[in-house]
Amino acid sequence: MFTKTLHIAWHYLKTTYGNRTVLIFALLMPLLFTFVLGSVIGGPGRNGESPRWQIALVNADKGALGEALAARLAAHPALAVQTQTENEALAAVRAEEVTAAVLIPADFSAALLAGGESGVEYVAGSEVRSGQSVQAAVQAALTEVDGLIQAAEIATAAAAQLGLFEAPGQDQARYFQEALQRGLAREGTAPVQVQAAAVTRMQAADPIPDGFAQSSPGMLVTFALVGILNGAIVLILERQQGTLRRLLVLPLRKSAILGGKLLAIFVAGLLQAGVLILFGAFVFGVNWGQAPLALLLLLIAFVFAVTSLGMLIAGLARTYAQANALANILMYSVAALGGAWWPIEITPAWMQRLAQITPSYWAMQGFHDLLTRGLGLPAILGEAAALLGFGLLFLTLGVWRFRYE
Amino acid sequence: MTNIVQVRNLLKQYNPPSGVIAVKDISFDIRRGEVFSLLGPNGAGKTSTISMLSCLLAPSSGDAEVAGHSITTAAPLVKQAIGVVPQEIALYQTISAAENLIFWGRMYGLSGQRLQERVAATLAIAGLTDRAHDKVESFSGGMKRRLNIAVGLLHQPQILYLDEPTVGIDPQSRRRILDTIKTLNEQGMTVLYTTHYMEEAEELSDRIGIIDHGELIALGALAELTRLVGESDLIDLDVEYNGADQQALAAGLQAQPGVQRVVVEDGRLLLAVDQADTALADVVVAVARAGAHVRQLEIREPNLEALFLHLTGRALRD
Ligand SMILES: Nc1ncnc2c1ncn2[C@@H]1O[C@H](COP(=O)(O)OP(=O)(O)O)[C@@H](O)[C@H]1O
Ligand SMILES: [Mg+2]
Repeated sequence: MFTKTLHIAWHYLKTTYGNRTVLIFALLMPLLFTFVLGSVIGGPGRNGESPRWQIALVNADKGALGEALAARLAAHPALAVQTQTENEALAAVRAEEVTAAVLIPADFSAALLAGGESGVEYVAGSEVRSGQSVQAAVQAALTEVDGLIQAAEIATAAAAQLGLFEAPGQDQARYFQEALQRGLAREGTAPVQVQAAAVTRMQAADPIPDGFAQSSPGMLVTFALVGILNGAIVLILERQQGTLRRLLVLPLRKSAILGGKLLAIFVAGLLQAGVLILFGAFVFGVNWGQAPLALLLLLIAFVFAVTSLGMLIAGLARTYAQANALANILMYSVAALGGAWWPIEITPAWMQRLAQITPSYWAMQGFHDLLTRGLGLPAILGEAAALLGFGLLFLTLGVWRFRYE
Repeated sequence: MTNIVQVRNLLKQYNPPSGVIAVKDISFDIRRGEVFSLLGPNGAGKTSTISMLSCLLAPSSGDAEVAGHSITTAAPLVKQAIGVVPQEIALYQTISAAENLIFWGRMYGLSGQRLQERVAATLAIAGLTDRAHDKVESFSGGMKRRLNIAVGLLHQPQILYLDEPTVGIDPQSRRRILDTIKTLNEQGMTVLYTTHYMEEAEELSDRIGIIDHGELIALGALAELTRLVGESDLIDLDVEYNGADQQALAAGLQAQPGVQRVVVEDGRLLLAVDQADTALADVVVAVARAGAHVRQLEIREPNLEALFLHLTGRALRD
C-alpha cells in the first residue's frame, strides 16, 4: 500500500515540476527577490561578518556627555570611528572615504542637560543603504545618552520627593551629577549588555534584522507559501478533472491518495527551501546561522504547517477558482503579516500581536533567532512547536472537510 | 457461476431524507460474457448505478455482488475485479499516453515486465501505439476517449464498465469505440455499458435494461423488448405549423383511429400507430386541416424508441 503512496507522490512531482516554467518560477524568482530586497534593505549580513562602517566624528563639546556619546559610537560593533576636525570630516564624506560624519556641537552637554535639542549634526554620503543603518546606530547612541539624563533626573526627583535633601537647590544638583556620572561610568559595558539582552524577543535593544538576514528567510517563507499553496490546490483540480474520482475506483485507500499528494507537496517545499538556503549561503554569502540542525527542524516544522494550510484550503474550497483565489489571498497576506517582507519590529504593536496567528510569523522569529541572534536549537523549540501545532490543526480540519466528489 | 453481477434492490437517495432518489430499488443480473446496456435519458440514474457498482457511492439500501463480492462489504475485491471507464476524461493532460498508463497501472498494483506488457497491449487496443509518447493534451477528443478506455483495461478486469463513452465525439471515433467494445467482448470481456443512444444499445447489447427516473422499466434482449411494444410503428413528423396550435394538433391526431399515442417533442410530433401505411394518409390530412403542413416524415419499425415512448409517454432523445 505504501508503494502506491510513493508512486502518487512521485507522479505529482513529475507532473508539476516536469514543467520547466514551474521549476524556474519556484527557484529563480525567490533568488531574484532575495537579492534585490537584500540589497535595497541593506545592512550587515554578507559573508557572515558585520561590515564596519567608517564614520568621522567631530566632538566640539566641552562637557562630559559629548565624550559619552563618542565612547558609545566607538563601542558599536558595526562602526569604525575616526575622530577628526570638522573640515577633515566633511572632506572625507565628500570623498566617500567615510559613510557619514557626526558633528557634536560645543553646547551639546549644556543643551541636553537643559532639556533642549542635542544639536548633533549628521552628514551622510551618497550611499543610501549603509547610510540608513549608520544613522540608526547614531540615533540609538544619542537616545541612550539622553536616557541617562532622564534616569538621573527621575532619580533626583524621587529623592526630592522622599525629602532626602537638606538644602534642596545645592544638594539636589550634586545628587543629579552623581547619578549621571554613575550612568556614564557604565557606558563602556553598555553595548555588551545590549548583545546579551537579545535573547528575549522584542526588547527595545533587540537587533532588527536587515539586509540578507531579513530578505533571505523572508523570501524563503514567501515562496514556500506560494509554491506549497499553489501545489495543494491541484487537489481541487484533480477533483474537477475527474482523475481523483478515477483514483477512488481503484483498489487503494483514500489515505494513500491524500497522503501521496501531501507528501509530494511537503518534499517539494523542503527541497525548494533547501536550494534557496544553499544558493543563498554560497552565492549571496548569506549567514544562515551556526545551527544547521535547528535550521532543519525549523524548516520541517514550517513546511509542514504550510502544507497543512494548503490541505485546509483544499478542504474548504468548492471549486478550483475558489481555491485559487483563497490561496492567492492567503499566501501574500500570511507572508506580509508574518514579517516576511519587512522586519516585523517596524510594524505597530497590534499588528505584531495579530501576526502571531500566522505560521510565517513563527518561522520568521525562528529564522531571526538563528540568523540575526546567532542562537541554537533550544531557542527555536518554541517556534517549532507552534508551527507543528498549526500544522496538526490545519491538517485535521482540511482532511476532515475535504470532499472527494 | 453464470452471473458476474447480481443487483438486489439497490436504492440511492442523495442528501436524505429529502434529496433526489436517483436509483429506485432496482434489481438485475449481468451474465458472464455478455454486453449489458443501461439505456436511459440524461438524469435517469445510470451514473449513480454504475458508481454504486464501482464502490464509489454507497447505496442507501440494497446490495450487489460483483464477481462474487459484495459492494458494501468487500469493496477492495470488487475494485480489483472491475475496470471502470468514467463518463469524463480522467487523464493527466500534461504527460504522455504511455506515462498515464504506467501511472494508472501502478495504481492497480502492476509493475516491472507485466506493467510494460499491459501498457503496450492497451495502447494497441486503443490504436495509440504510434502516439504513445505524445502528450495527452495534443490528442483529439476521440483519441482521449480511447485512452480513457485503455486505462480501464490495464489490469485485465473480469468486467468492464463504460459510462457513456461516446458522448461528444465525431461519428468516426464513435464507430471505432463501438468496434473496440465488440472486439473486446468477442475475446471474452463482460461489459456493462450505459448510454442514452438507442442505436448504440441496439447494436452492442445482448441484453438491455431501460432506466428512467431511477426505475428499471424494462429489461431483456432487443427482440423481447420490441415485442413488448406490440404491433406498433412509429411515425416521426417534422411539422411547419404556420401559426397552428401545436397542442391542439396533437390532440386531434390522438383522436384518429389507429393512433395509440402522440408525443410533442421540440417542433416534432412522434406518433405510435397500429400500422403506419393505413394511418399515414389520415395523419397527413389531419395536419393539413389544422392549417399546418408536413415538412418531413419518417416511418420506423418497432424499436427501443417506440418502446420508451410506449412505456413513458416521452421521447428518448439527447
Ligand atoms: N452528487 C449528487 N448529488 C445530488 N443529486 C445528484 C448527484 N448526482 C446525481 N444526482 C441526481 O440524480 C439523478 C440521476 O443522475 P445520474 O445518475 O447522473 O443520471 P445519468 O447518469 O443517467 O444522467 C439526477 O436527477 C441527478 O440530478
Ligand atoms: Mg451519467
